[in-house]
Amino acid sequence: MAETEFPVLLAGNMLSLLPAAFTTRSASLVLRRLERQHPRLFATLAAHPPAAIGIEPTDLPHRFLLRFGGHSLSLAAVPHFTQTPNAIVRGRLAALVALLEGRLDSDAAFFARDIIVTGNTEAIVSLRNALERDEVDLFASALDLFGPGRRMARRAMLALERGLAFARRRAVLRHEALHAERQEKSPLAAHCARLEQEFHALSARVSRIEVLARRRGQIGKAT
Amino acid sequence: MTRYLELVSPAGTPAALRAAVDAGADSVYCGFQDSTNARNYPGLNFDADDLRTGVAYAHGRGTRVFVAVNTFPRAGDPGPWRAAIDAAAKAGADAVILADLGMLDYAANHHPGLRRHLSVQAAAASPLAIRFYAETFGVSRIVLPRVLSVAEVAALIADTGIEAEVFAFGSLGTMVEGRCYLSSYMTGRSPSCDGVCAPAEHVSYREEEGQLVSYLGRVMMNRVDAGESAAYPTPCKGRFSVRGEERYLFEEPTALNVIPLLAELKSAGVTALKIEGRQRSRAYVATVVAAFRGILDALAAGKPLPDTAALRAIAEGGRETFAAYAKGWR
Repeated sequence: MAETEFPVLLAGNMLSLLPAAFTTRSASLVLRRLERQHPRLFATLAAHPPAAIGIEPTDLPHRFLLRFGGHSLSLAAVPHFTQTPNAIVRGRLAALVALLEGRLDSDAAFFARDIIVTGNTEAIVSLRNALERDEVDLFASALDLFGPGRRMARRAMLALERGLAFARRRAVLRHEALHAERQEKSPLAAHCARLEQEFHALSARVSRIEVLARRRGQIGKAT
Repeated sequence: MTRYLELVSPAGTPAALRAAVDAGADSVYCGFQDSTNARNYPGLNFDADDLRTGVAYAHGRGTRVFVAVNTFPRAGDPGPWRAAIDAAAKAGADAVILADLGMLDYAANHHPGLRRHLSVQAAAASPLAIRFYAETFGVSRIVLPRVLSVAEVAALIADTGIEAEVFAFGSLGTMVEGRCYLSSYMTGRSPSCDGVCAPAEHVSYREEEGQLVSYLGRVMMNRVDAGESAAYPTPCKGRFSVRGEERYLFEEPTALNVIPLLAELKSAGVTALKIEGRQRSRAYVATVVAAFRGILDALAAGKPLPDTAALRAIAEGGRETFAAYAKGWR
C-alpha cells in the first residue's frame, strides 16, 4: 500500500488550471518514471491486446485517455473522446487515484456508485488486476520528477494540501452557517429518518430472536 | 493465545497474499493463471515464481498456503491440471484444494505427502460423499457447500469426524456448486471447466435513461437506478421479470457475513473459516482479514468484539446475509 496519501486537493486545483497539453506532458513523465519502477506492470499492459480506457474525473475539466496494449502505452488529457474507448471509468479524482494506488477496493466503489464503469469490462478488469499486482505510489513517482529537490517539494505540497483542506473546511462551515436559517426541515426526510431508525432497531431484534430460536432448536433444522 | 477458528484468506495476486499475511490470516489460498482454478480472470492469479515467492513470504510469518486446482479437466486434456498440482507441490504449498476425482487420485498417488482439501466445487454435502472422499483419496479437509444450515453443518461433522472449512464472508453462488451451467449457457465458457463465471469479455455496462444497465453477452441482467447499489451481471444474480414482477429470481446481490454465528459454528465443530474473493482487491483482503482477525482474537480472549462496520461497506451490493446458515426452509 502507498505510505502517503496523494495530495488530491492540490492535484485537482493544479490540473484544473493547467492546459491539457501541459497535463499530457506531465502525465508522460510520470508514466516513464512508473515504468522504471514497475517494469512487470508495464510489460503486462504492453502484452495486452490494444485497448483504450477513458478516465473521467468528475471534479476536473479534463478527461484522460489511457491507451495500452500492442506494445505501447500512453496517457493524454483530452477535451472529449474522438472515438469511443473500450470502457470509461468515472468518479472523483480522489477515488480514481486511490484505485490506482490500491488503497480503495474497486468493487466496493463500484457497488456504492462512487465510480461508474461503462463499456466492455475485459480491458478494465485486466488493467485493474495488473495494477493490483504492483504497489504503485503515484505521489512518490510524481515527486521523483523533482530530483534532488524531492524532499522539499514533498514538504511544500503536503503543506499546501493541508492549507487547501483547511480552507475548504472553513468554506463549507461558512456556507452551512449562511444557509442554516433558510433551510427548512423536510417533514418527509424526518419521517424517513425515523423509519430507518425503527427498521434498524427491528432488524437487530429479529436477529437476536433468530439466534435464540436457533439455540432452542425452533428454526434452522432440516425439514 | 488459543486459536478460536482458523482464518483462511483469498489471494488473487502476490500483493493480496502479502496483505492477507500482514493482516493476520492463518492460511491463504490462491490459484494459477489458467483454467485450473475457479477464478480465472484476466491478469489475476499466480505463476510458478509468484507462488514460490508467496509461499516463502507466508511461511516466514507462520501462514500456510493452499493452492486451488478446483475446476474439472476438459475431456482428454488433464495435462494443465496435473501440472498445476505438480507446481503447487514443488513450490512448497501446504495443501491443494481439489474437486475432480481424477485429480484427487493423481495428487494422492504422485504427491502423497501433500494435504488434499476437497473444494466446495465438489459439492459434497452428505456423510456418504464425505466418507468416500476421505477414505478413497485421503482428503484431510472438506470445504462445505453454502447450502447447509448450522445444524446440518454440525450433524455432518459429528457423523464423519472430518475437518471442515466453511464460508464466512463474501459473494454467494447459488444452487449446487460445481454444477451451475447458467454462465456456460449464456457465454460458452464454463465456470466449472474454464474457471470463470460471467467472463469479463462478455460483461458490459451502459447508461440508459438515467439507469446503469448491465449485460452478459446480449442478455440484459439488471438495471439499477441512480441511488441503487450496482452489482455484477452474474446470471444467478440477474433481476428478471417473472409473472409481471421484476425481482431477483435465484439469488440477491448480497455478501455472506457469519460474524454473529461464529460461536455456533465453533460449537458445530468447524475448524476453519473461508473468506471468498480471490477476484477482489488487496484492499478488500486487508480489510476483511483484519476485521475477522480482530473478532476471532477477541472471542478467543473473551474480550468485547470490535466494530466491523467496515465490512458492510465492501460487501457485494452493500448488504449482508446469513444465507443458508439461518434458513429454516429446505
